[in-house]
Amino acid sequence: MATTMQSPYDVRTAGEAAGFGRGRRESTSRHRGLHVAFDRRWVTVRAKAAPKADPEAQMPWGPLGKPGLWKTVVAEKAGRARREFHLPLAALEDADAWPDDRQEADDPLRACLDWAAATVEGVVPDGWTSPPRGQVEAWISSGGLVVRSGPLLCQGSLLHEPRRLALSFRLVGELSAEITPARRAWLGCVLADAQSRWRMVRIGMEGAPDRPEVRAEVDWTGAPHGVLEALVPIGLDALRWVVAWSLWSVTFLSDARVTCRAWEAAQRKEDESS
Amino acid sequence: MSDRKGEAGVLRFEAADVTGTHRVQVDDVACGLPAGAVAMALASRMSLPENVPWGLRDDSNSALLDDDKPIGEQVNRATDVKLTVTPKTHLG
Repeated sequence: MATTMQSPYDVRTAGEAAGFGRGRRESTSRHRGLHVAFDRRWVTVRAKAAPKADPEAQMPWGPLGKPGLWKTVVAEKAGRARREFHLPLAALEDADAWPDDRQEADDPLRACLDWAAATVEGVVPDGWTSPPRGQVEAWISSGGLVVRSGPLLCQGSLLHEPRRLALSFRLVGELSAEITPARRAWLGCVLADAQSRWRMVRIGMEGAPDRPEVRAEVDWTGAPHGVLEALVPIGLDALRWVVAWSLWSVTFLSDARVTCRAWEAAQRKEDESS
Repeated sequence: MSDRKGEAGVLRFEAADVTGTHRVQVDDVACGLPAGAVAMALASRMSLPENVPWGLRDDSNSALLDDDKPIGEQVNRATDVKLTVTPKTHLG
């Protein structure tokens, strides 16, 4: 009986086919109007920042709750915000994760770039639905939804709806109204730094403006099903890392019982100069 | 309807170590957190050694809570919950 051997998916060859050269560090191309950079471990898709009139453009974090892996990143040198979508190549290299009955584009890399292009405007791709909840839960490691950092604990949750698939950790349930604008600005800096520093994960404030919650999330809404088995554990690891990295600072800054004159100094300086 | 795995309210309790040296009031533990993770976090807060496996005992019935099960499912939330952080050791 003849058996068909499927050769492993070679993401480098697929990259060349998609127009990427083999650069020493990073090669670039364009896909449906987006700038795409390809390095040893990541595909980074870049889009223009939201227009200044958009309230989201004023926030150097988030935007939370939007489909896909798009997020605002502040470049270290230029200090300018831009939108990026980070895709780990490891998620594309597992041939078993790409079943034959797929409905997406034949090539995993192209399917993922299509996903980025479809979600850049915050829209879920037509016809996309979440895989069954049980299947997604099986990709989440035991205990993976709990992060402990010393005496601090944070629990994550799987957001599974027909048209939404994400993991979210709530770092602060409701920011105290006693937190001053100056201190909130410090908190915003921590969130923006975390979001710019680490890939895939969005972190920010959301909800009522006077008492927002602080959340970190990874959103796979619209992702080709073929990459999810590899992409979900990678996203969970990234999310756990960012939560553990930022939990102390966020908890400390949002604890109304803690006071520090230095936190208010910047605001006083601004008040005096205006 | 959103399917949020692991979110089921907040638990308030008083916790102490076995010697009664450290006593803390906890107001905001998510009920869905595994009891084992809560025990380790409390041990850290009480500056107890981190290389010891800690568990939680419910003072109302002396039952040792299951590490892997949500803490909110293992205590009677209708009463004042008091827990003891206990090292999981045995003789012999």
